[in-house]
Amino acid sequence: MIVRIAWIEDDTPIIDPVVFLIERAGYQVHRYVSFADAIGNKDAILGSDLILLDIIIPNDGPALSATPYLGLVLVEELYSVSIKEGRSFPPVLILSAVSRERVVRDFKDKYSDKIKLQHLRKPVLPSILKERVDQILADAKGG
Amino acid sequence: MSNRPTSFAEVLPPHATLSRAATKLFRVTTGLPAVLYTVSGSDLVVDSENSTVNFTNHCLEMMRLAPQKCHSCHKERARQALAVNPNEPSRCHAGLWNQAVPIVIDGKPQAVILYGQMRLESDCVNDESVRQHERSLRDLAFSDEDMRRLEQLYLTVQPFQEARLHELNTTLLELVGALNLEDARVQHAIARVVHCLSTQMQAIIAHAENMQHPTLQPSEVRRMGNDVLNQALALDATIQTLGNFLEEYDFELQPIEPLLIKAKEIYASEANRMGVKINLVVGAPPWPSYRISKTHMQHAMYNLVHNAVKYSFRSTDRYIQIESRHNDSGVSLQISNYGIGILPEEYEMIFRDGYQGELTRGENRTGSGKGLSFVRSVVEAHTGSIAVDSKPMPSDRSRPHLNRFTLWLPRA
Repeated sequence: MIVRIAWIEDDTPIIDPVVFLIERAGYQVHRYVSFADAIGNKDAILGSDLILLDIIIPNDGPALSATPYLGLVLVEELYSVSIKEGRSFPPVLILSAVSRERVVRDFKDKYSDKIKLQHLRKPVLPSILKERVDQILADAKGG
Repeated sequence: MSNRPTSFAEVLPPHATLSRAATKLFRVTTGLPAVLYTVSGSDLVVDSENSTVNFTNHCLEMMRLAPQKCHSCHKERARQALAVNPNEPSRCHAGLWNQAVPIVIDGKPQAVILYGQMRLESDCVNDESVRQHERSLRDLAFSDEDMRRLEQLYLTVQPFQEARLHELNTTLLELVGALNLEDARVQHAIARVVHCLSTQMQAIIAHAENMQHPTLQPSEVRRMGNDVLNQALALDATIQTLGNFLEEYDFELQPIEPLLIKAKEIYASEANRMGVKINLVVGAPPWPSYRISKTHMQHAMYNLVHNAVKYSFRSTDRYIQIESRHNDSGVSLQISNYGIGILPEEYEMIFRDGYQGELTRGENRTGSGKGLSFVRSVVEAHTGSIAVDSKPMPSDRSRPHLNRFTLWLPRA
């Protein structure tokens, strides 16, 4: 079975090696580089087995919100689409810098009963990322 | 021995330093005593620097005779200001009027400036103050001699207009507002710098671990090794630019083109991953030489090429063009890309230290805001010039601009 991972991250040209081990393991990683890019591909993202998320992404579209954390706005948007359409929502693994931990914690608290959210602090070793991805996918399969 | 700053605290003064400077400025310009209390955990601590300057002889004597009472009264006043942020003046235990302005930065209480300790001109208020002063002297059980001296000193305290106190309060609140803005600017700058550095560091860390993977082919190891090298060079370029740590200019006759080639080389992987092609149009060697400081000029080229890559749009068929043209007077270098534009009114500002283009903000893209300022300083040190123009491409749905940086260096 093909495992599809949606990676929402604008710095993929620089930090692409982060997903090297995941891709070597045979997982398909689809890259979305902005809010507009992700919204334009929302069906594909909602059909993914996992979302890897950077919380600060560019807009590349009409002005949306004053918050710099467009990644979190995106998750809220995608989640409301999934509710409207009666679709399940994939688990989300947030990759963020240490200085954003409070923002991530608040977001996790807000959505703890709705979305399966986990968090890894950057910089992350590819092996640690793969371990966590394997664990989340195994949990999702089991539960 | 270098006298360069060694830490962020020296480079970017924290709000504590600014609060202290604001208090001092207030004290000097108004002639009023002003004490700064800083929040330390759950306590308030008096900032010892010049904490009794400008106090009246009455206050100095009172503080000598009853230091604990004065200190706890001031501290309590400062605590109240943080709790309820009162805008009205209030009376101290000795009947003198003061005002307390809380300094709250980014929603967090940081300090309180307490100032005044004056009599007010209004008779009615003054009568209340006199009675309060008498009560305080009795409660503190001073000797008759001390009481008489304090009463005489009290009468020498110059009365102050209440309206003036309000005016000063408004000014101080504006100053605190400015501190808030400055603090936000500093925090934002630090966040941008940290993002730049940590993104490049993330790439190096990931490559380093990936290279140990047992199934890698030798060609893959070589490619990753090359990526690590280029990423490390890019990180070095970022650090040099951020701190402007380069040594003295060392001019020698050198061609420019190898610097452009090197810059293309280290950002080629990043550009490739974005689907951006870099066209280098520099002709064949031998190239003319110019009197340049090679290290500085190399870092300037790194900055211009990296900007072109970083701010390119991903959704258009596009390229980055790097071109050199020589004539009798010098060399013109052009670096152009299709991407996030620069507004015409920003053509000059974009080269200022810390400035970030308006359109990059809307795109939520992060950069240090220091690169172009560094480039201009290098170009000017070579008696050259740099300019930018940016034209929107309305026919394209993704709204890219054709941006062109033109750098000119004179022949030696």
